[in-house]
Amino acid sequence: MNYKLFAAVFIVAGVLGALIWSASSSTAKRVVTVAEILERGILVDAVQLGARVVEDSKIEFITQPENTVRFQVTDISDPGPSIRVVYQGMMPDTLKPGRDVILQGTYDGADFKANSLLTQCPSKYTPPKPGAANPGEGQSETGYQYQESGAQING
Amino acid sequence: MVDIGHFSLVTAWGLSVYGVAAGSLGAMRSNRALVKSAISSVHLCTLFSLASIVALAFAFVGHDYRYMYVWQHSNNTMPDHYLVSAIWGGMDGSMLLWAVIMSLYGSSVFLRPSMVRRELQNWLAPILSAGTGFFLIIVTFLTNPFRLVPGGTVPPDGNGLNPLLQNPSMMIHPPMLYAGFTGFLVPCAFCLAALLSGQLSDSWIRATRRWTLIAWGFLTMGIILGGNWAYIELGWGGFWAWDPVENASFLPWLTGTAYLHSVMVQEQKGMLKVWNVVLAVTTYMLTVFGTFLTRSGVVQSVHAFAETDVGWVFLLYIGIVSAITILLIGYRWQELRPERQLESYFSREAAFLFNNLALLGICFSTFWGVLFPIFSEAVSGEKSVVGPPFFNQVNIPLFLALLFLMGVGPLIAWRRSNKKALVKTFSRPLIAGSIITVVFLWLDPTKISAAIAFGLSVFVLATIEAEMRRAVKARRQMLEKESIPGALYQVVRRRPRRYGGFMVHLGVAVMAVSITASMAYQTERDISLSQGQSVEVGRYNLTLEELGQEKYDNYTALTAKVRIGSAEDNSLLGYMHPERRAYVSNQEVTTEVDLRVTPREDLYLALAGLDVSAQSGSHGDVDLAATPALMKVFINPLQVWLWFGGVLVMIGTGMVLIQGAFSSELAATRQASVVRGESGARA
Repeated sequence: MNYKLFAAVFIVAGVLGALIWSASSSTAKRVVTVAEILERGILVDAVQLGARVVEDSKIEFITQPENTVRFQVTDISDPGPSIRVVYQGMMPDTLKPGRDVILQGTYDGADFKANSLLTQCPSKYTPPKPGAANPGEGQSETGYQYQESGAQING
Repeated sequence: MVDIGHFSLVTAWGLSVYGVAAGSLGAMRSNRALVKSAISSVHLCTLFSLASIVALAFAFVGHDYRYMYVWQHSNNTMPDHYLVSAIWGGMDGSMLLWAVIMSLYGSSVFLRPSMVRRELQNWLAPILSAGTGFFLIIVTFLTNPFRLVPGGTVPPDGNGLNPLLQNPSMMIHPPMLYAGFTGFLVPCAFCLAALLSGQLSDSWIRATRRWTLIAWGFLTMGIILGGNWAYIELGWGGFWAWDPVENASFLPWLTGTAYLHSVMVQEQKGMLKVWNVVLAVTTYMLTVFGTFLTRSGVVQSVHAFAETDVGWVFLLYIGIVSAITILLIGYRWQELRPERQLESYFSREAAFLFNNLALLGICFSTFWGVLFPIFSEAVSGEKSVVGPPFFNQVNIPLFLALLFLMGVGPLIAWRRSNKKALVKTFSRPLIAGSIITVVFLWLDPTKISAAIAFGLSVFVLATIEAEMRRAVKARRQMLEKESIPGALYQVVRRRPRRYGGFMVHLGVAVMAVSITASMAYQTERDISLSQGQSVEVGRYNLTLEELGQEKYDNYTALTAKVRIGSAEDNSLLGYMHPERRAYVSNQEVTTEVDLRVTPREDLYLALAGLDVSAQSGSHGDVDLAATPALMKVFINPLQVWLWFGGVLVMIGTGMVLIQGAFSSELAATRQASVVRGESGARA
């Protein structure tokens, strides 16, 4: 038997196991749905929420006193009740009604306070079928619709 | 035209089915005629797959919207070069491209006479046909890019390609990645052929070295280009986010890198035979696993492709190939026994062993992290996820160990190194590295990993420098007249495999420095600037001079002109022009960042939008002169060195690849293997 080799493998595997165990227990976040959040109420530990920005809803972006994005999300597979997400930071380009987002944060009983907001990347982008509504329709001149909604809130 | 593409595709997989059947029969019965016909079918299959993708390219360039796929991923206003790259703008075309590149690799195997034995060679055609055929059948039945628009009508214009994908790196990044992924089929095929034929000397490893390196080079380049694309195009100031899709490309890279190192141990010492078989097959399986991961929707990703049922077919394929491999390893167990044992931890084989364990460790933890949601749900019933903090926490120590081994491995002796030699070789680099670590710890005691990473990078650089100096000195002792650069050139020219390896390591050390610097010392600021206003960030003073709007055919651009002055005296350093584009065709908004690149740091400006809320009562047109612009500012220290390090890695890979073109080492190693092979046979 090649004891030196097995000892090396054994030690490295042990170290790796310890690293993985400590890192997964300290950084793992539970995955929840909107329905679960509403059922449980306040969530102190950070969780991950995969949800869809409610179709035809308004996404608000305000810059005073801090950059804040606010929008409503609902469950993707079973859209029912929605909750409001408050995210402090810049408005991502790809955040739009109907888009899927991955949020991490806590729930204070009223708002989901997200400290991380990721919108689905373009390669996910599923093209529409021919014959669907003209994709260019209903677009504002500049495309910066959300800013105007921000103005409506503060103006 | 309609059916040339589809017809070619069907013919191609028909040929690959024939290749598998005729090839296996030929190999089992040692029937040379059958084997030859299988090889011909491999070449024909390549031709027909090529014809199929060329037909798709013509469909794109000719705006043939009868095809659903063309309609979905292009439109009339796109320039020709993006029309061609739209082929891999979606899943169907990507899969076709994958199959085509794989078939090219398959054919390339038979282009030159091989140094492997006939019994092994006979198995190559059926295995390669099975590899390519699987993907061709998937393309034909599940992701066919030649499906027609339903109803028989031809739309006048297409939907257009996502603007984020209309980028020069997106033209080359996916083909590079696929060329990397699919290339690992070749070592895997040789390995399985060796197992099937029982020809288990290391000739299969030598025969596939070139393909492995080419595949590894493409994959490395593909990953770096992907990072570069994310950095330039996505506007978040980073280049790697441990996203499942990135991880999917990283997993085979890790095992592929491990394989490139561990095969040297088998060549020199006849050890790790089972290990190399496992690595060759695992690397290929992981490329398929990556495809499964991105197509199946099993993990939540910001990046994943549209969810389809295709993914599970890949999992089945992985299961079948793995089962066959395990059975074959069991069958050949006696012949795979090591010829030698590990004698000392202070030896090159031990350094390579630990390097492999660290790489596999990173691979396993990344795999674990990606599938953590599934594991956690299975164990506790509650689904949990892990993110970048998990990957960094586990992998940084392993990366640091790898850096250390990267300095040690190439210089330590095989078999057993004596203390004196160790001290002589490593004392100076170790001192240099320690000084750097201490200095950085003294500068900022909280950044421990960064200080160690800098120290270890310097350690690696110092070992490379020491080796080059030693080699040049030795040569000049023999040939006194040679100049130092001349001697250096001759040293490298004579052993490109060895010194190409050093070049790769040099590039990796440079990249490690850059990654550490940007991870530990990045500055990020969100700013809001009105015209004429200034703000100080780092060593710069940013002034928004102008905000404008420009209209183009395809998009409307919001542009900013920002004056960059030095923070000290506001003397002009230059102007930057970040942009935001709103595309008309599909309502996408993209951020066009502007970069000011210096060797010391990148100044990275992304225009995030307009601060309309600062304007009173605006419901109509936005008055740009009175509206502040929102910008994200990043200062990424030593960022450019990441790309430069990548270039060094590529040069080094190229140097290793030209080995044999004009050197005598190949002949020498062949000789060695013959000698060792005989002694192995006796034992």
